[in-house]
Amino acid sequence: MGRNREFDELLNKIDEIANNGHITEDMEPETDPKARDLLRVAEALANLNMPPSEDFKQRLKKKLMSDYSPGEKLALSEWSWSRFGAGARKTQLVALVAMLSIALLSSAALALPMLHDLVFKPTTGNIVVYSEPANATITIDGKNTGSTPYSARGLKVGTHRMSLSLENYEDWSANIEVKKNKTIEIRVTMTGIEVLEVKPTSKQKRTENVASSEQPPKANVSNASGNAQPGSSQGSSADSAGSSPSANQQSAPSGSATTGQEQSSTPNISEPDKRSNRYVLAIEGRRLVRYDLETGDDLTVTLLPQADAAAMRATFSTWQGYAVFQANPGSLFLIDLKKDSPKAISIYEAKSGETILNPSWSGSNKIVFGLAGQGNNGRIVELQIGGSEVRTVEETCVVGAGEPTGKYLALVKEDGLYIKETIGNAESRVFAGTQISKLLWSPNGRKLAFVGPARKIDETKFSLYVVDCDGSNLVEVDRQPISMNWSSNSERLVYEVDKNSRVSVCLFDTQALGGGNRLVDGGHYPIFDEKDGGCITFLKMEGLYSLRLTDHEQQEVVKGQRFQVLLYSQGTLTADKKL
Amino acid sequence: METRIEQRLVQQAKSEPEAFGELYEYYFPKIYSYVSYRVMKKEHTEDIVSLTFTKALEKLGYYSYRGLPFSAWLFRIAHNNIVDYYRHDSSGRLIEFEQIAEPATPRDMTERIVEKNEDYVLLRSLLAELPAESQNLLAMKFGSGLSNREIARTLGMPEGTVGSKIFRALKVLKNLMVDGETWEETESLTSC
Repeated sequence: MGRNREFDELLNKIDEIANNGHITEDMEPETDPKARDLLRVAEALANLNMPPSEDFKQRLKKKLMSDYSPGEKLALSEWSWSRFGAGARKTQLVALVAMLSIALLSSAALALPMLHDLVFKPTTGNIVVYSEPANATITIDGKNTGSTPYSARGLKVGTHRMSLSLENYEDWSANIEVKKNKTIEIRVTMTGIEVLEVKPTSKQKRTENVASSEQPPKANVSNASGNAQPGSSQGSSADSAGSSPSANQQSAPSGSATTGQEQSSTPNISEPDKRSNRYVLAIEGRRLVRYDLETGDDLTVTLLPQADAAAMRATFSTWQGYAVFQANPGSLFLIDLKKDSPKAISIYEAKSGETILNPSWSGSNKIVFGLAGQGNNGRIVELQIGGSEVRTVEETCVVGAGEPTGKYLALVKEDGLYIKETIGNAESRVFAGTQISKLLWSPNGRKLAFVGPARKIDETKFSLYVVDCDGSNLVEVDRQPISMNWSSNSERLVYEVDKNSRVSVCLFDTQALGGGNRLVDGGHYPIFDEKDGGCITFLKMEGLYSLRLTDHEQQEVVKGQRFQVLLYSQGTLTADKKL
Repeated sequence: METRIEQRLVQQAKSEPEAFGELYEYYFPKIYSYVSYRVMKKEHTEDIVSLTFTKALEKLGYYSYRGLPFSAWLFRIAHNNIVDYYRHDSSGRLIEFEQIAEPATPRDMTERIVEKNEDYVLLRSLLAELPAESQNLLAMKFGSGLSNREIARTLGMPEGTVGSKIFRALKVLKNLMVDGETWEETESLTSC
């Protein structure tokens, strides 16, 4: 009891210090030196304050108020609360009263325009925007305002930044000059991105459980017929302001696109390709690009309808030269990475109201993913590449991961993580707990990496784990993981952690004892180079880097903060840097 | 600010800029202090504070009181912006660390802590060493001047827990300063 009272008294003193900013004279002095030190620390913290400048405060307020209600309403708002220009406002008030009086006595048709001009001070203009094709999403000064054809009245006079975006078309943006009481008409012809079609021949057959890369999955192109659903599933950030454009690829142009910097690298299929086989796949803005490391050319693989690049990256799954990913919650796309001009091909569209979760490869030509519907628990399904129908493989949960050889299925259920054999359906729980996520099988299917609740309950909530496919050898690798990637030989796992707001690239060697080891500070989205398993590629503020694992030597590959997310790399180490 | 009054203001702020102005005037110093406790550079603090209020204004229409006070919502926006800031600007923090001088003796540190500018920088850097939750608590307590009750509402934890966690955070900070212990785990975790 005495100890509790002392503790409470100490807490009260801490409160007082927080309120007063210092140890007060009437505060009973502490005899315990540790408690005394504690109070001194509290006092020091209370004095750490860095007061804001009044100028900054007022500038920010002014900016917020100007953004609050543009046009006519803004003028009235400024008048109603601004502390500046009080004298001028009083004059306007007198004039307003006078005008109201006149309006009562004389014709309203005469007085109201004068009243309007005096009080609201029209400083606005109008715009009308057309695009070809239509339905392009318009943003003005960073705010999503609608889609074309579009008209807006009451825009503030001056320069505005307007952007148009449309699925399968290059983004368009420009500064527009709004003039007082004038309407400007803007017509934009969108520049399309070529979408290649791969038509199945009569000789192609469906293959079943083929492990060899000699029989690649068949990609039967299907122009998406469904509409993308705005995301509320994984990966959607809190920003839900923008509307997702339709994933309808039927509006994609035929023939080659005509303008834009990307067009110089759009090949004619019949001509020999001039690209090198050293490249990275990354997200740059809304583009998924193939960046050639030797020529510096970048080719747009596809446009991404949503800005949540990190979420998209979490769905990016590769297998023997192919990649599958979600561009939006309702669509799956396939990329043949071996092509020098890869394009994203739609392979599945979820039905209205359904959301795709965690796509992963299962065997050579199957994709396993969750399908969550509105109001129901969802299921895990399997899609054969080239087919259009899915087959349910698990009905008890909606989060899972296919294993590359097709032998196992990882399932996240209410009470933990399970591994289930696809033949025989025997399953066992390998980890008990909830909030399990980010399942990632090693390429050989022998190990499973995942994120789960940390065993040591302190400030850390989640840890990265690796477990064998039979449930043995569970290792808690590290804390607070973000992204991870297996080496092609399945022996090592590179991952990113965020500890106390410090981001690092780390490496876990399954052959060594212990957990992960830090490699690089400040690196993001680390991945193994597909050609050189001894090299890791990652992003930093300064650009794209590679790191040789033998001596940890870093090499700048692409200078500048160009890419937001790294997806795939091949041949990032230059010849002289290789061993 | 009393919950009832705050909720009324928030509702009004969705259509009346004056009401938003009032909220801004009330929360600006608290948010600024909170961010400045967690972010090293003043210019970055201003950027994050600007972004916080801008986002709050943009998303005000989506906010509705369902047990989560407006202050909690606003602090969460600020916290998320801080996390994003560190995700994209880790180099700035590393530079700050390099500028810190070694203390003469660990014991001396505590007594000099309020007096020397170098110790001020060190204290800020040690504060940044703490886990995010501890930083949040100390920033809200000593920076924003929130009571334990207000902090409890904001973070969604019992009031008693707030006091205990603040105490523990202070203790850890003291240990960092006095004993020179590092909070960061340098040893890799062993298998289960």
